[in-house]
Amino acid sequence: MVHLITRSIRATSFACPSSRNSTRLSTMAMKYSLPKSGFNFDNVQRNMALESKGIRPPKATSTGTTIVGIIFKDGVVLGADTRSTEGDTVADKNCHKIHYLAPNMCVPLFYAHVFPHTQPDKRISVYCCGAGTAADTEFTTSLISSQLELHSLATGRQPRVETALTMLKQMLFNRIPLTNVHPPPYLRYQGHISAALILGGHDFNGPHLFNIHPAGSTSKLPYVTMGSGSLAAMAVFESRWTSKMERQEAIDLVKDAVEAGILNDNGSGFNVDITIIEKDNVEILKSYATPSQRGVKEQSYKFPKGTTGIRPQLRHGRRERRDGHIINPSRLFLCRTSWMGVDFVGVV
Amino acid sequence: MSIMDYNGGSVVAMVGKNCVAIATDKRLGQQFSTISTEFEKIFPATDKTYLGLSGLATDVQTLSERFRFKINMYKMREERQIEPKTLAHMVSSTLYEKRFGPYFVDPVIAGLDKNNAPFICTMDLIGCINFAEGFAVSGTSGPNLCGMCESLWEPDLEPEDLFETISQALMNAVDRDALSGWGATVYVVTPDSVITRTLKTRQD
Amino acid sequence: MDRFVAKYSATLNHPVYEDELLGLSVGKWDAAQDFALPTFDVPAVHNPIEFLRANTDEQSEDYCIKIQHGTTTLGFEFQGGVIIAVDSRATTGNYICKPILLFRRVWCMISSPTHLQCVHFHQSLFKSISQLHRVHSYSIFTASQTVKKVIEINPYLLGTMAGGAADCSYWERELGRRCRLYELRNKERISVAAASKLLANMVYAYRGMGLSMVGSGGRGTMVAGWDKTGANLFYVDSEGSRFKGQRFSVGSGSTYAYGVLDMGYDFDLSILDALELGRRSIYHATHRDAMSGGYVNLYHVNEDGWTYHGNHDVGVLHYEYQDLRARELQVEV
Repeated sequence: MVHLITRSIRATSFACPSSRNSTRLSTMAMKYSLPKSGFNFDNVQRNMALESKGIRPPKATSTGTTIVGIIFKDGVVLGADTRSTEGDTVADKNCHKIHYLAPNMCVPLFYAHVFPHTQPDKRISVYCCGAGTAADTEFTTSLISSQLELHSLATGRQPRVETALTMLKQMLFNRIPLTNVHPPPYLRYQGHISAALILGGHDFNGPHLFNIHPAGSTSKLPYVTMGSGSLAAMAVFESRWTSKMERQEAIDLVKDAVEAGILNDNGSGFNVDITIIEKDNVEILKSYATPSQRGVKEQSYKFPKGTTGIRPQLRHGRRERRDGHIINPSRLFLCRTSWMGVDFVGVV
Repeated sequence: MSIMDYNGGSVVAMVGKNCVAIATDKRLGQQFSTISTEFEKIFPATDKTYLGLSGLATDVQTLSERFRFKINMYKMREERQIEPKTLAHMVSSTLYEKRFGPYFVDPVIAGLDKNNAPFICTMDLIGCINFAEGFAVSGTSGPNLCGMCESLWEPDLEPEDLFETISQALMNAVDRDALSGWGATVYVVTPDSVITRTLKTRQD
Repeated sequence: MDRFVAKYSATLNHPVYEDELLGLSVGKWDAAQDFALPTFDVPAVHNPIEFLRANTDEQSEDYCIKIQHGTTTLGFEFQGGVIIAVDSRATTGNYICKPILLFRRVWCMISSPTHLQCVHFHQSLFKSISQLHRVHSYSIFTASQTVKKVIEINPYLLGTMAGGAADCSYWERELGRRCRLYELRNKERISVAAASKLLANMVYAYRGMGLSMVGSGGRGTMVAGWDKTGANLFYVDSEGSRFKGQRFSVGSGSTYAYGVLDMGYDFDLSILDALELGRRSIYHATHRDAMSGGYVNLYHVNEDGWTYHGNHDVGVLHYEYQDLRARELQVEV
């Protein structure tokens, strides 16, 4: 373990990776100017080696969550709490779990001109709630969002909610691309991308609501809940959901369902975010309800100036190199001992 | 022991009134043995934006170089300096590219944007951005720093007050963490200048 | 909480345990039982040793009994007796615990109510050897944030702890009780060799069951004192090892301490130089070892028993030593 790390620190400080990755500038410039799309597995071997030495890999931020959605008379209401957690720690108290997928607004004039088929009055709005590993929900939805945009530009039509659903489930299960991505990936993620989603939107077929599981299975339902608070939220829906609800009725029901999750599930908390998607309109209500507000701090903990002891700037502190790049003195130390055999000069 | 704790170290950032501060400890260890006390984990991205990387030291150095490259490429292509929010998304996608073989770092970004509005954010190791409002923490003292900042931070601190608050939060958090400490550096970024100070801390 | 719930129900809850508790407060004192070897319940599983090892070993998957650990302790013999120096940091995981000791026991044996009988004897002995001033000197340091890693077994014996704080302090308290009983029976003080052997034998009975005084993991205890043969220093751990020696350092920072200790050691050191060597060794260990830190606690043992030489904050020591070095360099230039 110790040797392994030391070796890799040296490797970075020398900036001379293995012969496989040539360091010639031209190659590097090529590599960076034409970035390869998709995932990169370079570190997998190393990380497996670390793990086999008994060093645990850390956990990513996950959204222990309450996300809900219902269909009402004229559209869809989506709701979510705003807590994200890292282990037992709250990582974010007011995060956004309702992600944008496609616009409801008019298509900008520029595109309308280029694509005369585009019909600005046929509007679609697709929004998505995510649960699971936060980075996965974030990137999956933004990836599909851009593909939807490309899709609508290529076809000159607005995508349907079904299209977004198909893209998402294929991405999660099999990733057969709808757009012309090169090379055609036949990677099977099958649950490794841990994104559990609720998909809601409105297209010319009316309002739609789906849920999508990390492995790619989906279902179409009139009211759905997901995440660790889904049981509490579903209890509210099961007792109070009716068909053809009024708008305000639907908003209140969603608010109550998310509040049930916030108050009864430790993984969910803080505020209720609501998004209402109707035929011509999307309304985003951030922090629609705040059922668990923190007490106000009544006095200040400001420190008098000069509380903190300061050291004079170190002789061996930051140094300017000729190209203006500031380098780290501890790296100087590593370089010196290995290149020139000069003693450690850092102040300890 | 988690791989994130192998070398130790912590970074914290805070928002003030028209200013931001970012601070780090200076320890580089190998598990419980202290190797260097001059290992800084904060790298300047632009004049007004700093990138802090805590976690596995080898990845901290690799990524700091990669980001230096990417930031310079951005500057040349766009003929302007990168905005902190853009930098956050650049860091985020660089990390998510390695979703199934991640770099073991917890980045923190702090800076002033072109309108001198403060921006801070933190990320997990696969690039999930957390746009923090008041403060952002990462590293082995993360939980301790969370507690310190929750109580000490308040909105609209002036640069000198922000310096005291972030310094006290960091010093007292790392004093209770065996894997961080051994000196600290604080950067307070204001529209006109950057105040850089080295703190006098315990060395045990 | 009761009041809140009571609002919603017609029947009232009365706590019933008061009567039951009354009967328990009248204690019985059984001399035979109280002077017998302490016994602990071991887990009722097929192989308790295996089970306990799995639960207390940090490398094991079932690791769940997390023990405070991480220490630097050292002791050495020299012409003026024995020096004991320890740091004061206790860590659980990476978290540094610094409990405030509100009251330092005058005698470790007084701690248990069943041993109240002993107090009387102690107080008389106490006066007879006119060490009352030491009791007052303890209280000066009670306000400091320190983990006490030196256990004052009796006025002539000290124990150090590296490893599980609970294990070390329990067994050394038990050792103190036995040493006192030995004294009462034999009308002379126990030798350091005998005391350390008592401790070794006691902990050996629980060998392999996860007592955190295991030598191999940087844990173990030193017993130092003065008897009729002069100064003595022993190393004991729960694997059953017991060595007599001139210099020991135990704990996660021991390698660093050994470096300084071996460099500066000389049997003919003056008492002041010896104390400084102990302090300096611990300071250097706290600087390099993440699990050691806080204060240096210094003790000196000679024919009059042990004397406490204060606790020294290494946060302050660092800058003192640095200034010292800067001055030395200036002189050279």
